[in-house]
Amino acid sequence: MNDQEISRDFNQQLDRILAGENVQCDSEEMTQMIGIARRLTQADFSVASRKRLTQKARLGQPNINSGYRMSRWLKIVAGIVFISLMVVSVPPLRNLAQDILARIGGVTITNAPTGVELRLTSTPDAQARVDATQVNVSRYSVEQANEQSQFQVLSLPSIPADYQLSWRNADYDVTAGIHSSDTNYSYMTTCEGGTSCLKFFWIFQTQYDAGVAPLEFQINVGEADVFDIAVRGADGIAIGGALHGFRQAPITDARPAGVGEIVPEAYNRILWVEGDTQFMMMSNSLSVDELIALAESLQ
Amino acid sequence: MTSAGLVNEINLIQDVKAEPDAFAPVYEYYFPKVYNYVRYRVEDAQVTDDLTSQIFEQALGKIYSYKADVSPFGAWLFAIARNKVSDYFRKKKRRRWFSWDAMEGYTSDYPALDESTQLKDDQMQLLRAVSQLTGRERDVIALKFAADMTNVQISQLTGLSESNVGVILYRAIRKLRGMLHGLFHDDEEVQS
Repeated sequence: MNDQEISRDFNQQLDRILAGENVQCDSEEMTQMIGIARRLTQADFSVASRKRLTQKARLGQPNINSGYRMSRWLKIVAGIVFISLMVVSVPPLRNLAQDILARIGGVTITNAPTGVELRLTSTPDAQARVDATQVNVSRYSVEQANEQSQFQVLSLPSIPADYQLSWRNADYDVTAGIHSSDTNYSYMTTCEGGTSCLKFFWIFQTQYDAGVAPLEFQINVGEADVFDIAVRGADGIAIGGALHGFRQAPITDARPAGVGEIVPEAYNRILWVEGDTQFMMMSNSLSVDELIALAESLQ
Repeated sequence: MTSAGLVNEINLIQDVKAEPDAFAPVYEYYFPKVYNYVRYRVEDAQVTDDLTSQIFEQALGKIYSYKADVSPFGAWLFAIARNKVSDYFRKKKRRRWFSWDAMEGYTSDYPALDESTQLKDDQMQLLRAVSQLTGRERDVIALKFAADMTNVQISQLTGLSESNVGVILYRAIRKLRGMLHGLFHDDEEVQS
């Protein structure tokens, strides 16, 4: 029997068991697989939920039902009023008047202030709230990344001195039709003032299924340099020195809110598109030229 | 749905359209199914709790648009759940493009949830094994075993052919068997 015939038998037995029938499996493998299927059906993780009771209690209250009762037009009017009030009353939002500097793939690059710049010019309370929660990461091998993302993940044949693989994530979002992978290399060192800081570079690769529009990103770069480059025979864009990070909050640290001085940090980025695949590399320590050289070696 | 379903579901949903407070029995019935569906798809219990809550708020907010003659309520609800999970992955992807945003991570208004203290070891091992599957396999597994859908219903929701759904299920469970081999000793004899 081929895989399809075996799977048809398996699914027939599975459905009979799920419907409550008593079924004798004809092999140990099938018995074990049906056993796992039963476990998957019986497992209930919702006992760990913290929100179940509170949400149920709120079901009849006006705040959760407000969307239910409010008409679409009322929502639109309320939205317009709210946004107008925000733009008038919050100074950083007035800075959002912006020019488009470049477009590549689904990415639009503007000269609007970066998130870090906005944060630095906002209230002291907001400045202190640089919460660094742990980002869930995996350390897939390239082969595992290929399987998870269902596309070919490019990798570096050699890594610059001192850097080590921090993580390699990969996934295939079946609903959206997006294959993606990101790989981060880093090392800890000592910066001026004796504080420890993280040096890193990061490679992103995204591919869209046929007919799927690229995700729209907007990268605000403030006063940073934006210029055309050539990468791996394709046209690309480089962004030199945009304030996109905070030195005191390394990405991999779970840092308590408001601890430590906030020091803005400049990142260099390169973006390019090869066929249906979009790439981005960024670093707080490698120059644009060094990023391009690394990109050329991807295989 | 393959299970017995919610008794008098169509009338209950009609009641909810008139009076949202009547949502409680629907919520009680579907909460574990939606929660487990999301948990099979995302790595984090905290995120699962947040997304599940958002799915029900969205469902209640849109219930006036639900039409019983177009699809069963469960299929409608899980279409919302599936889109919500997909939105989460897309937002996560966007955040990762901006390291400063990535640092902020996914924030919740609740304290961190340590589900390992609430669940049995074998359930945690099952989750760890499921997390090793591909996104498509996790989606199909979640729809089959948490949402209680038939292969035909999964096929309609995902756009995959019914036979493809069957093959994905078979291969995913075969992979899980490889990862969990020897863990579930009491399954030597399958009885329903």
